[in-house]
Amino acid sequence: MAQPPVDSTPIVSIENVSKVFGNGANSTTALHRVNLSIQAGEFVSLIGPSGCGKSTLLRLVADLLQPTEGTIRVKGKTPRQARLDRDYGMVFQSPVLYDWRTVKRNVQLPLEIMRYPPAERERLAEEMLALVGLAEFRNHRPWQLSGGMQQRVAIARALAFKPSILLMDEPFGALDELTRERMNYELLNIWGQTNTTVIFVTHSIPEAVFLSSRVVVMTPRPGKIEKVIPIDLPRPRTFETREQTRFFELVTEVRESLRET
Amino acid sequence: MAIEVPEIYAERAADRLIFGRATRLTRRYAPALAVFVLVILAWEWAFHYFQIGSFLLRPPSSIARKFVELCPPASIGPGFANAAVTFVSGLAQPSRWSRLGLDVYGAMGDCTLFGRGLYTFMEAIGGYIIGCGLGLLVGLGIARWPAASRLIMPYAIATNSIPIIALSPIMTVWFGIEQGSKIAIVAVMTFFPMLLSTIRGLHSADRASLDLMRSYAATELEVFFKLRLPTALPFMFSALKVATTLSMIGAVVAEFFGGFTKALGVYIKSEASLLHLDEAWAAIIVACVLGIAFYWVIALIERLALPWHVSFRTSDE
Repeated sequence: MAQPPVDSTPIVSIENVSKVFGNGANSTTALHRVNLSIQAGEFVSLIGPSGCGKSTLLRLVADLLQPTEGTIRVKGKTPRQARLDRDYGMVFQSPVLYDWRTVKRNVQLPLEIMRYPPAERERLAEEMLALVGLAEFRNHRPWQLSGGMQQRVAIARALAFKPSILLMDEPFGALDELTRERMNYELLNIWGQTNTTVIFVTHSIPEAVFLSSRVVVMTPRPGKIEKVIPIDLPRPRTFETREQTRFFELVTEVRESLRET
Repeated sequence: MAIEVPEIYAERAADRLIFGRATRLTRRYAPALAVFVLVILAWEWAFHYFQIGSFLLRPPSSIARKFVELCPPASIGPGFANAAVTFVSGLAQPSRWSRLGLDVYGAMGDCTLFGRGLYTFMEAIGGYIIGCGLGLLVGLGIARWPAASRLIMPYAIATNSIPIIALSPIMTVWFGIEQGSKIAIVAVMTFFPMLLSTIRGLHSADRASLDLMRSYAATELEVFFKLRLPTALPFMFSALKVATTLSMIGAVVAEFFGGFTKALGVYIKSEASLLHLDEAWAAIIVACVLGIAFYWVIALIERLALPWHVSFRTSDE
């Protein structure tokens, strides 16, 4: 698969964004003067130690938080407008599935809220469950699935209404290493088929390198962007990708820029 | 690949295959049943062996005889059917509401024990519906407008800490000696558990679930019905279950302070004061049976309403 097409106008632009929590003596600067542009179809990872503001930055884009200063534009709109236009699919560290719904009805949740007709809800949910390989678990309850399967349901749900941007906040952080590598691979497959723009928060260096077209290295106190590292590994990336010399060079490069902090 | 199954699991799996549901239920409840039988037998034996004065303790056999006398088994079935018809038809006619308790008592016929029981049970249910209903409504309001919580909650908590039964004589002055005052007591007793659980339940949706709804630009009503209410239901049901027993206690104890002579609480108190202990024990059994039945009905509704809840998951799911 070729590198996704790069558009000249960014789908997400972050300009001089700062975020301060609290006020006066108790205030904490979570982000200080952050600038970043993301092109449509890109897979961008935000990586850094705890407290570097990577999740905060994601939440600012998602309109779950408001910046203290600076502007964010999503498809030329404010994040709030983009949220109201249902441009975001979100995946959190925990799958956040509703126990009172079956797997399929969990996937249909956003479709119900967005007033899709029942036949369309049915079709899209089936399509998404097939995409994440869980079609035969459609009538199971979330607690009957393993952690990795639950997170796949969460991804199916996030993609069900075909959002243009997928925001993922450490989605595989709670999974074991082997499941995590398999999920990374599957996520890339799904991304290849949907061509969504992904912003992905992680603290795993190999995960960030394996997945991304660019890795944004962030540093704490105050949170800012240290370095943006383009990942020139060819696609499609497979399990062999992780054994290539170039993969290790890039992992080392990310690790060293994290160490400089 | 051969998987070694720990013996206990193999045994359980074999149970599922070989024994039916009835056998499993028996196995589950048999120990408790055995304890019950042993206690009754020990009680009977101790009564005769130690020659305990009959004004202190009565043997189970004597209580059972009295129970059958006050509630002939043949009258139970027709009595309950009759009482149910009387209650439902009486509910439809507001002019008969004031004497509905008496009518239901009369409808039980020869089984006066359950006639008294149902009279008191009506107070418990009436107060339960009013108390839990108001608790739910006020809880919904407070959860929606947290400012109202600062206005109301200090008083709610303060009122909850006074012994509500102490209000019984006042309630009698306000709502009359018959069922009204008991309904009021039960309503006050059940209101607070329901209120507190409703508020806690509605506030217990986690941040990620709420963020998810926000990312869908869901309306407040959608967040309520698709997230907050399902999250709150287990909390609400645990309050509804606690309130069943509270309501029965409230109704019986409120009757100790005076009430209609056919009421169960009045009966227990007056018979006990005459040292008619067989009658008092038989009436206590009726109070237990009705209280447990009430609890089971609510627990069953919970099971049907929340089949997904963690407490009902079985190991083979």
